[in-house]
Amino acid sequence: MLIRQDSTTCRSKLWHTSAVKKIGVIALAILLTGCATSQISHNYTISQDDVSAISIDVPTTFSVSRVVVLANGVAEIMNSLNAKSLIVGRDISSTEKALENVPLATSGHQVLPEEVIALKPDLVIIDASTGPKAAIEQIKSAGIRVVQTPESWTLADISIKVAAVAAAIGAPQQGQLLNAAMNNTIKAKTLSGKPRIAFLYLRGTSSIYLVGGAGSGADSLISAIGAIDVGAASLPRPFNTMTAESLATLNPDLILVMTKGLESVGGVSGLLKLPGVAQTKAGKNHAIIDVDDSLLLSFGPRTPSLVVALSQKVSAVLK
Amino acid sequence: MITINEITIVVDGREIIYDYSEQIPAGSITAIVGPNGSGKSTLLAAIAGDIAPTKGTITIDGLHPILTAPAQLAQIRAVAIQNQIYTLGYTVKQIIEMAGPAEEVMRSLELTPLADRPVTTLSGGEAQRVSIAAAIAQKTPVLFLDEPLAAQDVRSRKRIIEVLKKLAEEGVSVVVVAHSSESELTWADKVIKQLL
Amino acid sequence: MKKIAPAIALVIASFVAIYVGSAQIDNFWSALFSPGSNEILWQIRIPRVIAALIVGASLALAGLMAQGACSNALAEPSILGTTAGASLGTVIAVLTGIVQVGSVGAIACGALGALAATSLTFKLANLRSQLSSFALIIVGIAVSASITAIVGLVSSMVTRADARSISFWNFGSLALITRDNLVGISITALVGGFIAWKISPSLDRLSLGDATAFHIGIDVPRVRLIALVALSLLVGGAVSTVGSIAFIGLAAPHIARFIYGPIHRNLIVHTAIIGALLVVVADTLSRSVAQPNELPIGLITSLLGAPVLIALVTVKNNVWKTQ
Repeated sequence: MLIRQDSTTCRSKLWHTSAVKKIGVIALAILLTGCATSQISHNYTISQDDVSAISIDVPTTFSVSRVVVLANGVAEIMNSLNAKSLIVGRDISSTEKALENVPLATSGHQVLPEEVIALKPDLVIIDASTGPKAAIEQIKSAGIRVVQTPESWTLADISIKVAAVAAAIGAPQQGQLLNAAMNNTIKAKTLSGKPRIAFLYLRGTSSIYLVGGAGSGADSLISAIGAIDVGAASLPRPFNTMTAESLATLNPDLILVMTKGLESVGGVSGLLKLPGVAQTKAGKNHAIIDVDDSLLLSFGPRTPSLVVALSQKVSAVLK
Repeated sequence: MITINEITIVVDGREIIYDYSEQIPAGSITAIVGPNGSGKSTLLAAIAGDIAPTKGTITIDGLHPILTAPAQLAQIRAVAIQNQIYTLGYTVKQIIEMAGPAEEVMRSLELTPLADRPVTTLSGGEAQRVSIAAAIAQKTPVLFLDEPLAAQDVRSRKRIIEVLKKLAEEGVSVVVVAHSSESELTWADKVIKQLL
Repeated sequence: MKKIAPAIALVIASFVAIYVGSAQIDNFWSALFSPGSNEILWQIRIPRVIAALIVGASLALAGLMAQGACSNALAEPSILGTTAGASLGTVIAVLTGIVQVGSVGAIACGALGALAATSLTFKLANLRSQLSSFALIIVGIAVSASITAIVGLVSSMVTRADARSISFWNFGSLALITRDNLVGISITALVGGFIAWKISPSLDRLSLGDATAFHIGIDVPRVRLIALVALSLLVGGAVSTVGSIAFIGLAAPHIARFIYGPIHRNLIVHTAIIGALLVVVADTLSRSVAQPNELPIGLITSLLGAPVLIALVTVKNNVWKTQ
């Protein structure tokens, strides 16, 4: 039976009217107007190649011969202490190229006790984040010496960590030499005036935008080069939610970010589109420095070189 | 003039009306009567252009309702359905004015005192009178009413019948579906019963 | 007095919204009267408040269209699947890299997604007068939930820099509004509003039921389609720019009808005013209640809107008979 006026349903009429087709054409035309924008060129990046690790070449004897390193950054320090040859096992965070051939004793971030014991080490170095604790206990009960070194979250922590590692491998004087060399290098920084810098932690893909405050780690870097961390000066927590108005009020001269974080918001042009950024001095002058992610907040033998490089870059950007 | 020509209407597989022909002249009142389920409302729907006959044709003054656009069709025929439900609280006057000028028809159906009442506050009978008034306000040459007297009291029934008679005198074809027995249909010029 | 209260409240709320914020504005009044003088005021706060007004008006009108087209008190864009469809349309377009969030192209994709999803709901519910309110709501919730889940999945896969998070799509946010966004949403609000204005008389007639509306000359499927188009434009523009903000489409038309009656032509302006008022207040609250954090605006509108929903069921009113 023919129902002329499908007055009890409205489905079939919808798709076949010319109105729908017209809408489709117009929509397609509008689509094309929303396409990509041009990138702003930017060469204020500090990558791993721009820094080098301070190290000591003086030969020395160590109290151990086979070391398994299960702590963040310790392998790097041992390398700088000329003790790389002692390392027979590592964890996943020791990503240095030089250690490529050293076997992994972890599965992900979990320590595998059998692997460690099989390497027959006379020293295992861990830190507060190494786990699981049960695995560590197993290694201890196998009679292996386990030493816990402190982590380094600020510039000041580095020398303490170096001293602890040096002591563990029986070369305390080597540690003192390294610390002295690092301090010397930092003195080479040059920066005029006291620029106001804000550190932004960005994860564009999850819409996470944070401003570094007191204790972010970046603040100790920024004060090390002689600048002011505006976030640390006024915000309470290490990482604070960024709102347009709060950033515009802070009004930094320069914005410091991590390289991958900058990519995740679409580069400099993407960053400038975030509300609040364009209203700051840094935004207006495109004064943005990005630092390699693995470099910025890991405090170790490369940090003094980073401090120098950063101070030079900041001077260049703000000239 | 409404011409019904050998129509058959099948709904949900059931034959409601079979091979039916009829002519309904202008200026008359025609009543369609019969027991429940005998196809009265279906026939009304077919003439009004809501459904198409499976076979046969219907024309109103030469136009096929089923092929006519809603706006044009509304100038030719008006319908007051059986159970009009009002969900929004428009006033009586606003409802009637959706179909046509309200003053005159409100007066003739004694709805003027209710003019500014929200239709959602009316009794069943009052609401039915409003729906009849709206159909009349459309001022069409053909008027269909499905059970217009069902919920009305004696006084209102008289009123409505008077109004319908006057419309018929003015040349309107009035078609009414009713289920009262034959003896009460003296006001109708023609009675159609038992379609199947 | 009751009748101009919302307009007055809107003006006051807008001023409060511009005044309140985490940043201190020096010389607020002189800055307010010299355009462009204070950057935070003119480039961040005022655009944001204007966006709140436009989005609020758009969502409210969309709700009016939804309720008119379905002749149903509970119809609103998120129940019909329109909001979810707009989110999905935008997210997919962003994922494939065709458009940027908040651009005019994104709005177009949002509007198309909105139209597609709403049509799907209608098709599946097989709308029949008022008797299938049940079917419409059940199907709408199902369609909406499915599409929202897909939006969640897709947005967790998107790695584009300007993509928004799931929280953005589900609860909305005006935090990322810039001045450029205002153009797109103004256009959809004006065009959608104009279409709504034009079909207002037809929507009045639609409330009489599909059969009676047809009898008095309304082309019911065509009016429904036009209402859907207006609805999709309004929701597409708003949602693709600020995510989905709950309850405005449901609450604003009801409040407006309660104060001003059911005639749709009257309701266009008043519904828009009430919608704008609700969103501006909610946004101001979201920015000021837990400083310096911002609460998702959708949470606040849900808190504000729930009492409205309850009042709808309990308070006797002659404007809309709920069945």
